[in-house]
Parts: sequence; C-alpha cells; structure tokens
Amino acid sequence: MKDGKYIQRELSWNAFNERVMNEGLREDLGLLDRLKFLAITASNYDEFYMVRVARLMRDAAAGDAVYTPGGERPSEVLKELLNDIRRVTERIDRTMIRDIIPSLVEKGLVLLPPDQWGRDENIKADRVFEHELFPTSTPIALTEGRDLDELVAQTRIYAAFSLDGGDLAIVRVPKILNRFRKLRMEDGRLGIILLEDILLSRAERYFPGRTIESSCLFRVTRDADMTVDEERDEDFIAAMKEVLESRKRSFPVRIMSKGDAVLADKIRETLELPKANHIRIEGPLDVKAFFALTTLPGFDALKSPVPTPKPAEDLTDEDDLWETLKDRDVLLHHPYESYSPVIRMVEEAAEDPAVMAVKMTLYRTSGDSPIVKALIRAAERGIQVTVLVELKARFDEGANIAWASRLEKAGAIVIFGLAILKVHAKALMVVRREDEGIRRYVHLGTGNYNDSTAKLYTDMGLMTSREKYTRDVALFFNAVTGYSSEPHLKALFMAPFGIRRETLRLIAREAERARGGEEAGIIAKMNSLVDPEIIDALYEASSAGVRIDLNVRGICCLRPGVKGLSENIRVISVIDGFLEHTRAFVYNNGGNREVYLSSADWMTRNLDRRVELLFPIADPGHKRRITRSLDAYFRDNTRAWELLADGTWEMKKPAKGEKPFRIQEYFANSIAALAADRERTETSALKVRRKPPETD
Amino acid sequence: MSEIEIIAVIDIGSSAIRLLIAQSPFDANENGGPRDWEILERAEQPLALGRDVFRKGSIDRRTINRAVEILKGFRELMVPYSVDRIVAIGTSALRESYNREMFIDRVMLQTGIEIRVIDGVEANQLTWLAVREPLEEALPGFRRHNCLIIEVGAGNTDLMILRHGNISSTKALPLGTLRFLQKLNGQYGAPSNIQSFFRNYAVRNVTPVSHEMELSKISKLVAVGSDARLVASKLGKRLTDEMSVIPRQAFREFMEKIETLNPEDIVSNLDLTWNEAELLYPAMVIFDTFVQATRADEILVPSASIRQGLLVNYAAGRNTLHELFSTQVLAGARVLAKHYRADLKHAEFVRNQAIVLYNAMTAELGLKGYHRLLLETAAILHDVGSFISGTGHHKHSQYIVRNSDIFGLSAHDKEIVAHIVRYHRRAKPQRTHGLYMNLGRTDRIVVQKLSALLRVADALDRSHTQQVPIEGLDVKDDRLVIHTSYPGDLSMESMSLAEKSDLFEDVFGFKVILRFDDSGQGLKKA
Repeated sequence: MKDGKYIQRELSWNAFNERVMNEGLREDLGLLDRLKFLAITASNYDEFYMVRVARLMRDAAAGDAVYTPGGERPSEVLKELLNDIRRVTERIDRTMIRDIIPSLVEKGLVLLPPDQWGRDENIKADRVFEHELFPTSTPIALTEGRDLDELVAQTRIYAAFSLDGGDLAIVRVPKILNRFRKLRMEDGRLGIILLEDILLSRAERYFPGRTIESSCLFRVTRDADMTVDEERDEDFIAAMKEVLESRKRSFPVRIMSKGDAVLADKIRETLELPKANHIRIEGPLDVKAFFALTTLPGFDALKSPVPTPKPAEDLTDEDDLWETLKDRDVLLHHPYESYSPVIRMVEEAAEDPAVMAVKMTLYRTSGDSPIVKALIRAAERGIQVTVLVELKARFDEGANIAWASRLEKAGAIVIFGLAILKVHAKALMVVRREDEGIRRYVHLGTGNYNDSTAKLYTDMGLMTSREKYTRDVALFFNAVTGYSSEPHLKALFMAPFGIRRETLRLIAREAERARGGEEAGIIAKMNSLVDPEIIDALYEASSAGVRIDLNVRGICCLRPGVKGLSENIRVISVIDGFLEHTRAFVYNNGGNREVYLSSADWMTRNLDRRVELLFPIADPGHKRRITRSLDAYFRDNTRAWELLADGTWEMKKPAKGEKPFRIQEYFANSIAALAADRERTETSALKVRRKPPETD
Repeated sequence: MSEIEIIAVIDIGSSAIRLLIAQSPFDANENGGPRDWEILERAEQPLALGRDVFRKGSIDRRTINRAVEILKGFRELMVPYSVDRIVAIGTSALRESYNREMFIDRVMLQTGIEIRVIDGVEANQLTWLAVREPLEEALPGFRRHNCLIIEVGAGNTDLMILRHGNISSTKALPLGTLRFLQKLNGQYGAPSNIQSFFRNYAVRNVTPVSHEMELSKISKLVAVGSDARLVASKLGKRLTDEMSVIPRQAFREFMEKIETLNPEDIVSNLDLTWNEAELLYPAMVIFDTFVQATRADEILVPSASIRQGLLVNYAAGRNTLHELFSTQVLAGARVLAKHYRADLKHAEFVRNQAIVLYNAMTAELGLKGYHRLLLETAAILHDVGSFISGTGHHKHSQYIVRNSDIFGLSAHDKEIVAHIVRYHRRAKPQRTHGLYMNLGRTDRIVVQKLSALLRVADALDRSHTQQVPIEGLDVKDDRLVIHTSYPGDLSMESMSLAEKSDLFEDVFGFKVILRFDDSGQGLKKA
C-alpha cells in the first residue's frame, strides 16, 4: 500500500484531515482559531465514519473484494486507516486537555472538570440538574434482550452506569439542552461547565437506593444516514445507496468513550464493535460542538483578524453591471474580492423591467440568503425564474423545502434536481430585452451560490455576456431543466458528457508537445484528485516531459516524484483560514496558454456521475491573472504541504534566508492594496478636477 | 430603430423535436447586408416518431403524450422571450402517419402550437437549401461535379441527384435503418450473418437505381441527417464551420475493419452508446453501398446548425421557398417541356408575355410573388400535352404536369400549375369540372386569374413565330390595349385574342385590344 501506483484514497483523506488538525497545533495561531481547526477535524471525522469507514466495513464484511485501482483489500485499508485515525484523534484529545483548555483558562475562558468546581459551579450544576436535566432525561436499564443498538442514537452523548449487583443503565444527555453552561465567576472571568459533567456528577439521583460503581460517557457514530455531507462525501451514488440500506439496518461504526474503561468495553461489546473502532479519550467528547465557543463575544483577541472582502478589481459597486458586461468580462476572486457583484446580478435583475428571465442552480444555500430573496421578488414581479435546487446536499432540509416552496408560490419554476445525476455546476443566467434585442448575461463559478461560504471559501467566478458562453449556458439550462436532451456545447464542457474527454485531450496534447521538444506544462488546482484515468494521463504526460504542478487541497491519489512515473509532477496542499475551493486549470499549449475554471474536481464521481461545467477563460488579462495566482501558491512556505513520493506530506518551511510567504495573506494584501490604490486615484481625481463634470 | 422580432421554430422530425428561438438582426453586417438571425435558445428532445410510423403506420399514444410534454416545455422556454410567432413544421414521419390529424389536433389543443406538415418536395427543398451554400463554400466549383445528396431515414433513403448545380432527379428508396433491423429480426438469428445480410440487402436495392440514376458518374456524395453527422464526428474532419468531410479511403478502411468485428466491438470502437449504435450500423452500410456504387472520393457532411438557420429564415418569411427555388423550378419545367418535345421557343415567348401581363396587372391580381412563378411554369408547360395528341392537348398537359416531378414545386403548387395549363384554352373553369372543384376557393381564384393571363399570352403567339411581342400596355376605361410594332399581318393573333380573352374579361372586366403602333410615342413601356 505504501508504494503502489496510486495512493489509497481513504488514507489520503485522513492525511488531509491530519493537516487540518495540524493547524490546531500551531502556536502562532490564535487560540480560538486553533480550537476551530480541531473542531473542523473532529467534524470531518464524524462524517467520514458515517460514509467511508462504514463502506469499508461493509465491503470487508461482504467478501473483502478488491475494487480500487490500487488493489488493496478493504480490510487492509480499514486496519491501517483506523490506526491512523486513532492517532490523530488522540492528538486532538491531548491538545484539548493539555493545551487548548488550560490556555483558554489563562485567557479568561474557564472550562473546568467537576473535580475543580468551586461553590459557584456547584450551585449552577445543582440548578441545571434539578430544573433541566432531571425532568428531561430518563435512565434506561440494559436488561437481557434489550437491544442497546436500537437505543443509541447517532452521535449523541450518553452516560453509562454500572450499578451494584451488576446492572447496567444508560442516560442520554438531552440534545435540546445547551451543552455549554456559562457562569460569571467571582473574579469576573467567564466560567463554562459541560452538561454531561453535570449529569455525571449528580447521577445518583437517577438511581435512588443504588450505588453507582462505575460510569463513563460514550458517543456512537453510525453508518450513513440522510445527513450525508455531499461536499465531503466521496461517492454520491454509493452514499445514497447506503442511505437506503441504512433505513433497514444502520450499524454502528465508531464508539468514543471517556471514563471507566471496563464499562466502556462492555458497551462496545454489546454493540458488537471491534476494538479497532473504539477510541478512548480523556478530554471532552464531541469536539465538533466546541465550534460554538469560537464565536463567543469578548474573545476576539484570541482570533486572528479575517481580511474583509474588497471591491472587485473588475467591477466596483459604482459600475453599471450590464453596461460593464456588454463591454468586457468580469473575473471575481473570492473571498478576497467581494461576493456582492454576484448578489447584485440577481438583485438588480429582480428590479429590472428589461429582465425577462433568471435561471440559476442552487446547490447549498439558505432561505435568508439575499439571492433567494431576490429570486422570490423577481418571480413575484413576473420574471420567469427557473431554479434548479439540489436537495440531496446537506443542510436543513425542512427550511430548504420551505424556501423552495416559497419560490414556487411566487411563480418560479423550481426543479428539484435530476433523477440520477446531481447538479453540481454553478451557473446563473439573466435574460434582458434591450433596445438592440435580447441579450443574456451569465455568471459561472467554482463555488456555490451561498453568500456565507463565499466569505470563507476561496473561489473564482466569471461574468460575461459573450454569445459563445451565453449560448452554451442556455443549452446547459435547457438540458438540466428537462427541456432538452444532451446539449452540444461549443465553448463550455459539461459532465457527465464532455469534461473527462476534454481534460484527457488537453493533458495528452501537452504530452504530445513535450515529445515534440516543446516546453509543456500543466498547473491544476482542485480539491481532490482521485480519478485513475486522469492520474494515468498525468503520469504519461510527466514521462513525456510535461512539467506538472498540482495544488490539491484534499485527497490526492497521485504519487508524485517517482522516477520513471511521475518525476515531473509535484503536489502541494494549502490549508489555511479560508477553505481552498477554487478549481482552476492552466495548460501551456506551446505558449498559447489555455486557462479553465470548473465546478468539478478530478474525481470519478464528478466527471461521470454529476452535472458539472468546465469553462475556458477568454480575456488575456484574466488568463494572466489566474496563471499568476496559481503559480504563487507554490511559493507558500508557511501554510503549504508537499506530497512526497512515499505518500506522506511534508510541511513547507522557509529555507535559510528565504522570507516567509503565505498565499492567502498575499492575495488579501495585494487585492486590498489594489482596491486602496484605486480609491486613492478616484479621490485624487476629484481633487484635481478644475471644472464641473460635463453633463449631456 | 426597428422593432426586434422574435420567432420560435419547431421542427418535428422523425427522431427528435427541435426548438429554435431566434431574434431578428438589429444592425447591418460589415457589408451593409442583413445579418443572420441570432439564435437565442436551442432545445432538442429525442422522440421516436419515425420508429412508430414505420412500425405501425401511426404514432403511438405514449409518443403523442411525450410530444405534448416536450412541446409544453418548449412553450415554457418561450415565455420570457415573448415570442412574436411560432412556426412548427412536421416532416416525413408526421406526414406519413395515419393519425397525424389527431396528433396535430392534440398538440394544438394542449399547447396552442399549430403544426404545419410539409410535403416531401418541400422537405427535399429544405434539405437542398440547407446543403447548397455550405457546399459552395466547402467545395468551390461544385457545379462541375455530379453530386448525390443522400439521407438515410428509418424506412426510406432519400436521394437527390445534382447536375450542374441543379437538382436533376429525386428518388425515395425503400431502404432504411429500421427497415433493416425489422428484416433482420424476421429472418436472421446469428449475429455473424448480420453484416453480410445488411450488405446484400443494400446492394440488391441500390443496383437497379444505380443504373437508372447513373450513379457511376457521381463524384461527390453529400450525406445529411443525424446518422451521417455521427459518423462524421467519429471519422471525419472539419472542412469549414458547417461542413465535415470523410475521405472515401478512410471510410472504406473503417468499414472493412468493422466487418470483422461483432456489434459490441463496433460500439466500443466508435465510443457509441447502444442506442446510437443500433441504427448507426445499418446507416453506415447504406452509405457504404452508395460510396461503392459511385466514384465519389469523399463524403461531405453538413452540420446540423445549417438546417436550423435555414428554418429560421424560412419561418421568418424572409425568402419564401418559391423565390429561392424559381431557377430550379423553371429549369425543371424546361427539362419536362423538352422531354415532351414542346415548342420551346414558343413556350419561352409565352412565358415572357405572361410576365409582362402579370407585372402590368399586379394591382388587379392581388397575388403574391410566387404566383408569378406558377404562371411562368405553366407557360413553359402549357403545350406538353401535344406529345400525346393535339386534340384536347390541354387536358393531356394537365395530366402530365400532375404526374411529373418538378423539383421545387410542392404537390399543392403543382396542382395549381396543372390547372392553369388545363385552362389555357377551350372551356373556362366550370362547376362541373370535378378536379377543379376539388381545389379550395382561393386556389380556384388563383387558377382563374392566372389562366386568364396565360390565355392572352398564348393568343399573342398563335402563329408560333414570336413576331408579336407586347411593347406597351394601356388601360383605358374598360379596355386593356396591347401595343405592338409588328408591321405584318396581325389577324391571326387578333382572332385568337378575341377567342381566348373571354376569361380575362370575366375575371378582370377588361376587354383586350391588340393595336399596331410604331410611333414609339405615348406608349407606356411595359
């Protein structure tokens, strides 16, 4: 497994999550930033267990057949993977109890275990137990014939008790109650005690007349349920199948426990879980929930400031949107550049009497997003609004259906996805009837139409009114909204029909040029690189002499730097405050460079089982801008990791005499400088104006 | 600023329904000429109309439901554009189905879309028009070549022979992809026999035509239709934006290669879906049979967008088919006239006279431009019946016109021409004339008006000497005065005119007078 042609994908995923965890260890980061990274790591694991670990377990149990190109057996992968995860999880736990929590106490956020509670804490605990916990929780005796498996719900925290006489009982820590109980301490610091600690410390109240001999807390993760996170889950079809199967039989995949080891083992055995799936920790369970602490007011000093989005270089708020787009394309680089042009496009369309139709894909968004509100307004005003909603994505389903039906009520045409394929492409089209005739405006992006994540994810988007693009986007919408069959696109490429073929063609063309003695090169940035056919094409291109620079945030199954296979390929991964999300591709093409953006990763599911778009960049300035950006990533020596031939990742550090370079900071600074510069120019232009502006 | 016009064109073909929404050009192109219409939306949904009609003669209920569903979607797509006009045409599959009226009615009731079924000739015209320009662009001097335009359908293969840049003959062969498969299902089980069976069957059908249409003289093959485009996308190379080409050599080599493969391998070899492959292979065998029957060095395949662009122009009423086809129609009529040994000089003379009359009477006629073409065609053909017998030759002419192919004329147009020819002499149209009464009222009026003109034009060359050209026309009170400077004896023409202007007087209310006039003064130049 260590030296195959492909790096095993689950192990590669875990390496990614370990890189995320590593951010939580960095002492140069704000304390709450570090806590956030640990919470993200823990949260990632929850979902990973539900889907990928569950799948491996099922495959191992059902014959243990090899189905990956690497040729590993599921059981082998599982063994190594669970070991790796245990190592990372224990690291999180140690960091929490030895580093994060004590440091938070120092900084005035006092998180104490029961044995360190003083008078105030105990009064608070008594009150919470009497008025909240006791009335809402019930002990359940684990008697013979009672199936613990059926009693234990997904990812809830339970307390288990071994009573005198050998009886066992469990109590669920109610989810409706706030887990973090705050109290103002005498010295003015903020104290926090955990709900499960309150429950444990007063548990004898549940069992009058009995003695608790030992106790522990535990949390069980089960096989995939309906809340599969599509963005992180690796294989959608498989996940959906798992969801269906899980209705019949959702089996436990992980137990995490804290407290009495013998009792925890008993629980695990009752659940028929192997030891490998049991992780004991000493700190708090469910670190994901600690995300809530990172937003507590009054502790901003414990976080590094987040750069605020700046007006876009290509389109400021003063520019007329439609007139600008008639004239030229607009490239947007989020979150350094503001997302407001995209929101503006929908909002202005909604108010514009010239607008006849708005069509867009909505993959993950929420009801209070300004985009949805604008769409509803547009529909109410009689504009034909067509929205393709993908409900399979995870977010609050109820709320989601609510705004979708509000859109429908307003008169919009709402299409709830395609039967087999999931629509992952991000496209928006506005149709205007102008004096010169109908003109269409489109926005194409690498990220979802979600104004909140647009502040946290790095993404790029293109706005244009070029006929070549609008024609294809119109065809794309006709296809995904069921008006038309497979579209024949001219400028754009659409999965599952054409992105794979085009990508293979572009890679092969570089290889061909390299063989002919030309300087050939590929720079590609994406979230995951998994597809074996693409990887093989890259190996071949590398052997032909193509210089290949890959920037892959998450899973990377390609093994770089192997002589005779991939010596011309290097792979880096950047993990920083913003989630790297842009998918961008540059092909040297003998100097006549071709640049593409896409919604699709180089993963089999994206290329074959999803509706995705790959679109070229036409404007030479934009091509240069994207190429330079992608190049700059490889200078990062503070937040970048490099993948080595043995499959491990090495953190990049400034060499002797080299200045530290952090790509996200670089983008934020340079774009802010540009914006400031523009503002200065505009202000100074006003200063030197000697006569009033001409009116006409 | 002119108003923007937006039209929707729906093309109901035998394997798909296609929609185009287009807007009229706003400004002139760099040469000052009109720009092409800009296509705003395209949509296409497969629909196996051809399969239904070929198998059962009628369109299946489910197919109708699906068609209605597709068209409802198209209606929805049109909404934001506030389309000014919808033109929906149905081609062969719809035309040939027994229940087309029901289909058209359901579509009308449920979607408000009125489908017009175009006849085979019109369909051929559309094909030819779609091919002509790209062919000229891709193949300079294509007029020197003998070309065969071939379209393989489900049941039939349509052939058009092109000589000197004009269509010289057309034919539909009972050779089609579905027909192949059906024969195959009935007779053969072993897949090893499929290929030789297909080939033998195709050769048996093509050989007789090969002689009749002189296929051996064909030097260029033009293949249209979706199967051809699919083959071109796999084997061909782009010649121009709108034309691909497959060299004979490459095509033959490929055919020989797949001869040794089983169907599964063919599918993977061509990177096809099974659905595509099922009909593609028979189509390729048919193409190949024609490639081998001709000396064509390449197969030219025009792109789909041309037909779409053409349909838009057609729907926009920019240039009616008749206008586009006038040369073609007249050439066809002349070939026919020559075939029946008509007096061509007389025919042309009468045609010219008829044009003069038509132009002079434009206001009174109140007809559209293409009616003049019908009159011209009738003028050329009015005497072809003499080939059978001088007695009642107008009736023989009618029969011949009705039963001949004149490329460029629809069946309906041909019927009108046949009637004009019928009434160029003797009895005027009467209620007792069954065929005449079968015409619609509007058509009957057209026939009356145009035969009235033809009678006068014919009368002026009673002697078949072309000596009495119309040199001026004058309308005075209730008289139409025809001036001519011919100094000789006009009695024959005058007598004939007196006899044959009866219909003219009935229709237009003018008495026709022929007058000698060599003053060159006071003549209204015709």
